[in-house]
Amino acid sequence: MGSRSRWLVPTALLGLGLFACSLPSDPVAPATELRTEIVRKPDGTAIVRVTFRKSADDGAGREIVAKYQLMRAHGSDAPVPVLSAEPEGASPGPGRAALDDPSAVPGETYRYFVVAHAEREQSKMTGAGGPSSTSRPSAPIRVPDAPAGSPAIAAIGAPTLLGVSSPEASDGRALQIKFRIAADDDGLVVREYRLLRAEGDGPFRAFRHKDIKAGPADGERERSETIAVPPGVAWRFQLFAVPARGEPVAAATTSAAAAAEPSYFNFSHLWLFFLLALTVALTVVFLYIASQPGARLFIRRIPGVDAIEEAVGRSTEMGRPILYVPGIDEIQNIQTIASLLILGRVSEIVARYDTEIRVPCCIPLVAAVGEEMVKQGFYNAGRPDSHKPQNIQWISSEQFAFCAGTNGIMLREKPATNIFLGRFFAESLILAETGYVNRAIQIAGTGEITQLPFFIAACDYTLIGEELFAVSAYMTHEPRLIGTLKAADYVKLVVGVVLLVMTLLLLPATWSRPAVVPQDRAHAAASDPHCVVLGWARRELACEPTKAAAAERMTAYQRDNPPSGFEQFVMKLVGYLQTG
Amino acid sequence: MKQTLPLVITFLIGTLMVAEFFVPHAGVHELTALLQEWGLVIAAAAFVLGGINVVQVNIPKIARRERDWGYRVVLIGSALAMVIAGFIPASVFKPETGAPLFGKEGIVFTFLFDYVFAPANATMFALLAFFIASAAFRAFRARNLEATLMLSAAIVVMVGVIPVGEWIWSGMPAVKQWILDYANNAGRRAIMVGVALGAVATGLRIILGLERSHLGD
Repeated sequence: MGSRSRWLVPTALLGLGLFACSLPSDPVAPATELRTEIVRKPDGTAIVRVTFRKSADDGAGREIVAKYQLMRAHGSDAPVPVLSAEPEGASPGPGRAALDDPSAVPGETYRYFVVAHAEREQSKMTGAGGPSSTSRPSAPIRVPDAPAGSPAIAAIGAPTLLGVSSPEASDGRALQIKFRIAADDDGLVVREYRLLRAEGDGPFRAFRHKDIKAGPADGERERSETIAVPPGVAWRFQLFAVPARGEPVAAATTSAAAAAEPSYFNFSHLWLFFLLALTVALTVVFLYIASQPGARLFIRRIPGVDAIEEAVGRSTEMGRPILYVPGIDEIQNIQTIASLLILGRVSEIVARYDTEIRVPCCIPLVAAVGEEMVKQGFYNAGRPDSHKPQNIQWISSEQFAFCAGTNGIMLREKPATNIFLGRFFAESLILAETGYVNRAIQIAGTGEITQLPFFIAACDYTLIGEELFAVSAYMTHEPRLIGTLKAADYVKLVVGVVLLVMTLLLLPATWSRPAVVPQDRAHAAASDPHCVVLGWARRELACEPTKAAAAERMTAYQRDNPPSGFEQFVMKLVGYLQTG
Repeated sequence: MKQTLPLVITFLIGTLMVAEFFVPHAGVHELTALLQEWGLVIAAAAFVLGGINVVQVNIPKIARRERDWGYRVVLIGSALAMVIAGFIPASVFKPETGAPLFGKEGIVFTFLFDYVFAPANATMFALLAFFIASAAFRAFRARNLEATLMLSAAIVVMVGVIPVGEWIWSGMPAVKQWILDYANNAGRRAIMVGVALGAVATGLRIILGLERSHLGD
């Protein structure tokens, strides 16, 4: 048995082992014994309360049930989640629990379901984790009609229109309407908000626009909506709150006339503009330095690029072609562009050695440009007659069809050198492993982080990330091209220093707080309506029995712990960098 | 002129596309959208070139009965079958159901796509599992300190992500998550920053006309 055959058995065993371990586990036991009842609130409105026995897996030594969710089905419709349901008493643990549906519409008949969500949701990729399970449906229950003239219908307040202006970074075709929601709008009493608009002093008319949903947004009662409007016209707006039952209530005032004004600079991208300007400025500086007599700009060695000429020489000695794959993405992708520029340089070397280059392409336009690049390379080397147009071949635009075709070329023509430079996806390892089996020298490079490990595992040389973009300049050693590399390196240094300073600024703020919540808890809080994350740096998790209490705690925290001037500065800077 | 005109066009169009990112004005957006549409038209036209390329590369080799010419017959035949099935107007209908036989939504095209192309595509994708196993086996040999560290981290992450990992030790998923969130994330972000700046530098080289290899310089 050869050395490769010896690997076959352990490799297969490893694969089978991983596969077996990744088999999905059983779903959690469902909730049972669903019972429904109508509960009257003090204001006369009716809600549906669903009581149930919790999952048999819940609290049985391992907390494998994370939460319960109420769903309801209208008639024979598929069940949908009851978004407004507060999971009162439905925290994980053994016993019975109840979930309320406050948004049940009077006069309608529903069937209810309870979903027991597993602690770790099942991964679609590996199948790991437990699937959730849905209970059997409850008996149908009819929600009684609300008594006429009940306080719930009569007590809807008016929203307040705060102002209309062009949004930030507007293209000149949008207006932002700011308003405060009705005082008693908790997302249930008010169904939605509607806007009417008037051109100049003309009459108000409804216009085609998505209805604005009710309730606070992220706990804020002051909200804004951005709507598209024709440019060059002044508009006035009137806002209505539409109750769940009854007549819409208008805001007390209409807006002043406002026209959409375009912005000429997107200030949220100022940070990136600064980086770009810095890069351009540094490029100019290095171009000037490079133009000085005797100037030498140092760049570190890139072994993968140094190996290209050696690999071409090997192919020539072996009398076999070189395979160059410029990725599988479109021509407008910067990695494809970088790869095609390198293809021109590589073709020149290939032509000098008088050997053959095969370029299978996934995109027809890449094939067309690639052919020109190869032809130019052969011209530059003074061997235009050696260029064979049929060697630059469009295989297929389908990822795996292209992969199969390229593998076929590798296995039939046995190129001595494979160069994979550009943007690759799942086919990267299939190509690289086929080349490895073929005993070719392999040089790969991509900016796709997910594919880099595959190339590193299967190829002799791998250009990691930015090295791909440096190849063209590195191969020529032209000072004007090296200057751009130096500029990018110095910008990278600036970014690194900014990151370091920001981290140092944030550290004291983090240490000064007692509790730092792990990232997974913070993620959990984002999906748990009972919990809020307090603080701007420490991310303390605070959970309350109800969503309203959690929001109240957040408000109280913000009132009692106003950020210091230093904290405000850092927060502003962090937010600015994140936006940019 | 042969070099200057393309350089000027590249500079103007490139600057405009960069400006669109910073200037939200609708006029700039409309202009760039128009240019991108032109790009799409050129890309669509290139499919015709691609078809011609397939014929130019394969037909002479079939005619000369070069090595493995049979595969090329299958390629040309398959391509022709799909083109014919898709291009025939949907005017011929299956008597029993009334469904069109040809055209993009026709029975023949759908059958070829669903029962020939899709399974073949899935087969190629499925091969990846075995290639990953063989590459992992080779990469995870503890040849030196770095490789041993990588092997250890890989084992923890692999075991931590599957149910059996939690069964072995309840802290395994947390360790796996720590490796992914901190050690792995730091490396990923460093590469991402480098890629982004490398892309900017490459773009600038082309827009400013410093990189001219595509123009024969």
